[in-house]
Amino acid sequence: MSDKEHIQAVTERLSRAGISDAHISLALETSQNLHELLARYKLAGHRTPDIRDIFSRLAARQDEAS
Amino acid sequence: MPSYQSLIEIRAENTADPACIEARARNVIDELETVGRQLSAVTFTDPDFTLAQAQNCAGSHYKGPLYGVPLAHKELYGRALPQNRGWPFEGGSRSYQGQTAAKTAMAITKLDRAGAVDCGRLVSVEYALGVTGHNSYAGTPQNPWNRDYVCGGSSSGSAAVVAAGIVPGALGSDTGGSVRLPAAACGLVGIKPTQGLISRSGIFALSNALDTAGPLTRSVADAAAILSCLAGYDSSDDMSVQTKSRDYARQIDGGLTGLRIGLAEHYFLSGSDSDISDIIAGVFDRCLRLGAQGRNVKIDGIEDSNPLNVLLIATEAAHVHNTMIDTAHRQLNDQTLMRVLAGMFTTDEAYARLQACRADYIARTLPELFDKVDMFMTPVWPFALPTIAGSDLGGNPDAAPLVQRIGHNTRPVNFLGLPAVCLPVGFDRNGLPVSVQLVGRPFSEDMLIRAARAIEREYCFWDTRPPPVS
Repeated sequence: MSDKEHIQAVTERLSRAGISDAHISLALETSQNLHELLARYKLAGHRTPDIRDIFSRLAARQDEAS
Repeated sequence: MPSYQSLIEIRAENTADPACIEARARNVIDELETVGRQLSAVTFTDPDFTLAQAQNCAGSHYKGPLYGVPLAHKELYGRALPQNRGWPFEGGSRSYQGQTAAKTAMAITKLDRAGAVDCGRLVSVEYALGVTGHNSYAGTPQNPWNRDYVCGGSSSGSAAVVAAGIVPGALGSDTGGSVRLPAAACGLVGIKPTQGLISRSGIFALSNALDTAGPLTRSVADAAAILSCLAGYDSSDDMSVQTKSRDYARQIDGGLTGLRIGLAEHYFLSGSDSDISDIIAGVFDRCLRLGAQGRNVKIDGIEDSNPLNVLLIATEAAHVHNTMIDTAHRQLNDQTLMRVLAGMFTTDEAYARLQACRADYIARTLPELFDKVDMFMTPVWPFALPTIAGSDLGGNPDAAPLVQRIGHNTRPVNFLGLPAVCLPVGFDRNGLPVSVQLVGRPFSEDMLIRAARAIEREYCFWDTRPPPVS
């Protein structure tokens, strides 16, 4: 599903649930502003580990140091 | 009258005379039902349960680190009882009205094992999704220092009852500042632990990636005592990590000599009002006079971590409360609804990218930052505390820019997964508390506690109390 189709599907679902168009528009605008920022973030090329792995390694390092 | 005793004093008295445990628990229940209710901070007490727990504790040979100490916690902490008689577990929301806990939170189980007496549940902002403390369903707690002012959120009830001296400590949860903002607003010590240090199992979820659990107390030593009971791996929390158990009070009186403390002028101080920044810069100077080494720190990219934290919370909150949108959205207040709705537009691909960006940012930022300093210092609130009326988005839509700014100094810390301790260091122009935030490298809570204790000794906030609630 493309981003456009996803937005369309969510919008229709919220309308069916009885949420006002004004609320939906404002929520979509907020979401789009935040996603623009996310799109600008430059990810390093390599695969990033997941957060838990990062903190597990940091915990082990701190345990060794203490 | 609330006792204002510290956890450590209470434990010592209980050890000398176990018979006082039940009487103390009875007093605390009375105060929660009177003073706590006057502050709109209490959701639930269960005298039968609490007094039975106090009696069991008094009759036990094991005198744990929290032996007979009365505590009360944010409503998000589940307490299950036999025959489906769990304590209310509504997430501060009419949309979950009548729901009871099916499971006892691991943090509560650990406090039980340490000998604490659980005296009830305290008001949370709806879904823990708000920083001022307003809640049209469960009540908007009033700040004991001045009841026209906010307690901050979302652990607003926890801050109010600890600041009023009813209990020496309470648990809150922190996803974007929800332990630190109320602790700071009410002149308390608050700890936001490193991601993965304390289990969130059995706590009403907001964001799996970001939720943390931590204590609010009136002293650094009390916070360290509670943290020592809570830390540790739990296989039922998928973010929990293995780490050695520690006594977080072990180095508490080590002082500041040799510690490398950064002053975060870029973004944090520069993004806060000058009257608040000046107070924090004064704390930094005093730390240098006490033997700390200091320098300025600038964290590249920190500006983006605040809105990305907002997006991650919204996305995960939308996932958690997905079915509510169809069935009960009319029962949510407008602000909660809008925040959850904004997260519903995130695609699976965008969510995966968001998680990857966060991991990348953490991996990129932490080594360089903590090569230069052991911790850095910021304000908690970026401006003087607002009134309840002046920050009520329901009655005053013009307050939106002010409310959006409140998490400026706290959200980046959650995004980076770092530990932070906040403590009071002065008063703003309206006589409400101002606090400093110390942020350290992952799993360095013991070092932050040591620094916080040294600052606490200098500012002696412990002896300053809000006026009695009448």
